[in-house]
Amino acid sequence: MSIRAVLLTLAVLINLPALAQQAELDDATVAERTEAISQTLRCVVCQNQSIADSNATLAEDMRRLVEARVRAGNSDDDVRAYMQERYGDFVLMSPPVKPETWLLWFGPLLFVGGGLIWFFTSARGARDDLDEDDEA
Amino acid sequence: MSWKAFLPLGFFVALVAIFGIGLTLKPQELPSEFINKPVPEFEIENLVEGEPPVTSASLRGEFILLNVFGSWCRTCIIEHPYLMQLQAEEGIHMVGLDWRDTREAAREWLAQRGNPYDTIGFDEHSEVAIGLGVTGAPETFLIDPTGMIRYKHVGEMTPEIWHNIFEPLIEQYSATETTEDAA
Repeated sequence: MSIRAVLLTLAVLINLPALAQQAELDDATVAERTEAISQTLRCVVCQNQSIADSNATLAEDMRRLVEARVRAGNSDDDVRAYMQERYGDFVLMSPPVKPETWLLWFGPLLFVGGGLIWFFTSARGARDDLDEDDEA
Repeated sequence: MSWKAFLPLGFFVALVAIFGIGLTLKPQELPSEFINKPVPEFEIENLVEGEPPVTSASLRGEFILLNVFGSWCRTCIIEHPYLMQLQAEEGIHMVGLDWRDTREAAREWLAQRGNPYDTIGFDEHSEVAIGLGVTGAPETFLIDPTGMIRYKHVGEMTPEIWHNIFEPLIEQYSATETTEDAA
């Protein structure tokens, strides 16, 4: 047997498990992607859980539907869009940034900014008050 | 004391007001995404085996109430007599969606209480329910003759809801239809 034949046989033998795993790997990918997408979708009957974390029957059925869509070849965004079309932005754990949600996204910044302004102006005010007291 | 001393208090009162308003909202009642949109396409097996499947395409031609129910649903028991009455008195076309149920349980439920539905889809795994954005039972969709969803009511159907919301909508959309026909 030539060296080349040996190498070829070895290569095939080494790759056999990998080839056999191809089908299983698909299942694993589907499960993985289903889980990942489910993490980003809100359970519409329990409000503050993702459908991945919820045991509600509707969440279960939504996970099943996510899996079916992933298996059918939909992209992650396709699946999310499908749910969004039906349940609105609410179903997305992280709502899209758009004019209606600016307050939601940037509101906290407003609070911090307002707090800082208040802090510095009132601190200066207090010092002024003190100065006045000193003068009096 | 300067007016600025009252800023924190004002801020606090404003927050209380905002949260107070928040408490009166019902976030569990999601507005339907399908108002004034056509019924999303679906095909689902009939509750009665052997009968033709229920399809979105069949929800045309007249005003239809699409009612999501299940034998497990307590509120459905409460609204059921009124659905029977609506069917008998108004003769409105009613299509049921038996959601996450078993055929036997649903059959028994309807045998006991009467069947107001012209046809019933059997949605064991929420395929159509999720397709329609349903969050709970009962829910009742108003579909106009062109197959457009005009309203979705979450919770039991009552005479008030029917007279104050459904009837005016039916009147409104049958009116626009006749003007469109005339035009």
